[in-house]
This record gives sequence, C-alpha cells and structure tokens, in this order.
Amino acid sequence: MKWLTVVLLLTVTISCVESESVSEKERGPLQISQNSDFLELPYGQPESSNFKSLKWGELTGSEKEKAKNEYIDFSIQSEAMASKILENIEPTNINNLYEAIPVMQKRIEEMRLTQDTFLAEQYVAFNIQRLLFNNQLFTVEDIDQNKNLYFDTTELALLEFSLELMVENGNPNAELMALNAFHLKDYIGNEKMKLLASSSISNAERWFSNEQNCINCEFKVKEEDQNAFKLNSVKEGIKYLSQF
Amino acid sequence: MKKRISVIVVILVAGLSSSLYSDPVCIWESPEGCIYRFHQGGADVNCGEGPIPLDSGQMGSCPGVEVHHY
Repeated sequence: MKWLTVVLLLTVTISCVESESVSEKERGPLQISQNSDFLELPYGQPESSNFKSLKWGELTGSEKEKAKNEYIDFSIQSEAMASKILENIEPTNINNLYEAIPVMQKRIEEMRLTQDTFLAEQYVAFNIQRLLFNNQLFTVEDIDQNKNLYFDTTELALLEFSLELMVENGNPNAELMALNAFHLKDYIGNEKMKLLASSSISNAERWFSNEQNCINCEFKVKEEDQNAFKLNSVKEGIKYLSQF
Repeated sequence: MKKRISVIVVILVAGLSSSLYSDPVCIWESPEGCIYRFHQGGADVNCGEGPIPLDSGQMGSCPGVEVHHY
C-alpha cells in the first residue's frame, strides 16, 4: 500500500510541474526582435515530396486557410516523427547521438516508406547542427566564426549525417552547406562531396528561383533589402560549393 | 484486493508515462497571418514562404492561444 501512495504522490507532483510549465508559456507575450544580422535558414522540401501546403503565401481566401491548416497538421506530425527518430536517444549528447546514427538511419528508412518525412528529418538535422555549432547558426558572423571550430571524428560523423539529411530533403541554405563542406572536405571522399555539393546547389537554386527571390536577378532588389542580404549569402555558398 | 490494486497501479503508471512522453507543441497565428510553432527544440515561423527556425533571441514565448499534445 505504501508504494501505491508513492506512485499517487509522484503523479500529483508531475501534474503540478506540468501545469506550472503551461502557465509559464501563457505568461509572456510573443516578442520578435528585428536583427539586421539575422540570416534566414529555411527548411526546404525535396522534389519527390507531394506535400503542397508548405508555402501558402500566394493563395487567397479559403484556399489559404485550408493550406495553413494542412501545414499546421503536417508540422505537428513531423514533430512527432522527429521525436520517434530520436526516441531513447539523448539529443544533446554528442557521443550518444553518434552511437545512435545507425538506429536513426533505420528509423528514417522505415518511416520514409509510409510517410512524408522531409520536415521531420530536417528537424533532426537542425538539432544536430545547432548542437555542433554551439547553437550559433543564425547570423553571417556566426557562420563565419564557425569556420574556426575544430571537430573530432565523432563530431565529423554527426556533421556528415546531418548534412546528408539536409541535402536529401531539399534544404536550400547553400551558405550552411558550404560551412559543412568546409569542415568535411578532408573527412569525406571527393566523389561524395561532389555529389552533396551539386545537390545543395540544385536545392538552393530551386528554392530561390521565383521572381521575388531570383538568384540571378539580385539587381531587382535594393542592397539593404533582407532578401538581397540572404541571397548574397546563398550566392557565396554556391560559389564555394561549385569548386567541388 | 491485490488484483484491484494492480489494476489501479497499471492505470496510474500508464498515465504517468504518457504525461512524461507527450511533447507539447504550441501553434500560434500572429495578426500578420504567420504561423509560429513552439516546441521543445525551439521555435519556427512560417509566413507563407516556408518554415524558418528562430534563434533564441527572437523566440519569445508561446502566447498559449492553442496548445497541441500528441
């Protein structure tokens, strides 16, 4: 009977902790600061994916609302998939993540058979990237400083794994791919690097190919425009990746 | 009596486990029509051009308008 009381007490304690964290969330207003150095690193989408509601910006009326709701559902499902990929893995422990690479690969392969996993895979990849780059991947300065980091073979294996996930899933951030390539160029073979670089360039060109974000028509946007800032970074990334 | 206690314990442990493993995701739509998603790993925003992760300085906290558990 004693241990039943302990279990009951534990349940009550957990419930209290949970409601406290919800209150915490409800308290603060949402504040988005405008940082001129902020470098957008959007998640991408591979050509093979059939999901149509990632970008609803050009839609109107009920179509727009429908697409938004589909995106919301999809992002929640993707979060659940990412949690399953990382199940029983400590997501902030580099050694634990390294040892779990084959497990994650197997889980992803199985999920890919029945589900559209491109967003979930990028959630996992970004978690690893943030961990390896000390949570600093958002400004041009940060990316530049990250060139000075030293990675051991365990970290390089994780970097390679996360880079592959990003490239396979259409991630368009050529500047981030270039940073990865910079660190991995002596670790992975020339042929593989060439393939990853070429796919990264295609992903970037496909994502930024519409008129508003056209890579080859930067003269249409003003220099101080955020798009120009981002596109220049992407172009620098493409330039670096083109050497492989 | 023993059987009844076992059943209660199983229910309690199951409830406890599910509460430990259900990750909350808060989805919030701003007045500008952007969808913000707050989760354990951080936050991202989609204003119709595709989702973009936010850095910690931009994140703020979930206004708590809508909370999903899975």
